[in-house]
Amino acid sequence: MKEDTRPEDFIGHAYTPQIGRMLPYGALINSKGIIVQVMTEEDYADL
Amino acid sequence: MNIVVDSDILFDSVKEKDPDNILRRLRNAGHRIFIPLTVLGEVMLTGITEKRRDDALRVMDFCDEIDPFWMIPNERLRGCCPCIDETDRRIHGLTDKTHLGYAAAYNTRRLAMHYFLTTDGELLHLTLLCKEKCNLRPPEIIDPDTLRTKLLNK
Repeated sequence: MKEDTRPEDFIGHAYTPQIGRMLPYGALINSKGIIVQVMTEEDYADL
Repeated sequence: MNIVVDSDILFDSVKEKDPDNILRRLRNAGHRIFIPLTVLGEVMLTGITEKRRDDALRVMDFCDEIDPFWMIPNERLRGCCPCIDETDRRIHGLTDKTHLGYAAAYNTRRLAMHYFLTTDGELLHLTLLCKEKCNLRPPEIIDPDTLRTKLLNK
């Protein structure tokens, strides 16, 4: 995994626990195991 | 609407063979189903410990059909759980409170979680503190009959 990989870059990838560790703000996985949405700092900026 | 589902609802869904299955109807009406990782874990563990492997497998097959979104833990969840403790300290079910925590943790200004669907009487009277703490409309904790009335006109 490249050092400058952003959480959004994982959209479309199959979820793995290793990828999960790189998604501190969470993500939504579809029933096929594919990451379809990634939460980012912006989702929680004002909370 | 976005609906987070408790494990009891999933087990009930595979018991019912009729077309009135609430999750199937919600999906057909265009609503989105969300399942926390802890709910998935509870389904699997119940399958093992209560010798309900067939039910757990049926739940997995059913999830293929209703195509839910699986929710993974995030940093926010760790902040929402103590807030849920504060909501009502009489609730003792850590697992249930954690399921609820996912609904709160993924409830943001950009992605609202509208309902938490459960039959657990201990949770149904709760109102989460999302409004007071984060100025967000909290997910409404709701039972299947009430949700049918609200979203499915039945």
